[in-house]
Amino acid sequence: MTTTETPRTEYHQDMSFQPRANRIGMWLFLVSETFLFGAFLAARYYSTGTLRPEELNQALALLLTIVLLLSSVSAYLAETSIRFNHRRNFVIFTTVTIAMGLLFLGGVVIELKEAIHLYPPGTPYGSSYFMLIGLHAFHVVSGLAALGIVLFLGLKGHFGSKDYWGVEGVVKYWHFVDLAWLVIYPTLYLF
Amino acid sequence: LIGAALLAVLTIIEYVVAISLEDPLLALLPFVALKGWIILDVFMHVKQVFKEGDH
Repeated sequence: MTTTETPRTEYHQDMSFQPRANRIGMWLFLVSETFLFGAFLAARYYSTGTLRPEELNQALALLLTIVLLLSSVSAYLAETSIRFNHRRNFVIFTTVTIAMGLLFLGGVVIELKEAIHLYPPGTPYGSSYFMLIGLHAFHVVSGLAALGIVLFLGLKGHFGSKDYWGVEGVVKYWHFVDLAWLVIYPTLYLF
Repeated sequence: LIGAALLAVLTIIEYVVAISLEDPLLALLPFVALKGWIILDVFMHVKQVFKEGDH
């Protein structure tokens, strides 16, 4: 055999290569998601400027923000736990993250029930509000589904200190969902 | 945990500033930027992307 090409199987055996490639792929995906959220945020400012209705439920929105921030902390602790092979802590913190995500979604449902009467989707602010909240809630739901899969696999003995990319990727996505809310929250409620 | 505490404090200050000012857009932008950077740096380890190897 005269070829100098590295056989394909060697790439897969080189474990130091794979996590870096995964991370770069994940970041590129998150950058593309940023553009999606950016377009919706721009639509809000284009259609209504910084005007917002007085009836917005500020207390609930602040509470939801704190819940989502806390869920990011527990997600971070879940990732750190599995990196150090602390499976029990990983299961606890992932479950806490899922619980807080569900709590956030419950709050969003209450918000939407109020919003549909106060500023319906047909109004300029209402359309921006429902688009942004809906887009973000969809990301929360998909993040919760991913966290559920990771928890299930973790309970079955998957992941460990040398193989935690599955957890890292999902937790990064969850942090991104939190990051998106940090911009959506002032855009809809504070500006 | 310091990052988390900082985020909580910034969120409360952000809220107080928003309800105190008539047009809080410019005053709130630094809060959004700072909170975003804390999540990117502390929780998401964004600097890791620019490093050569894996940890």
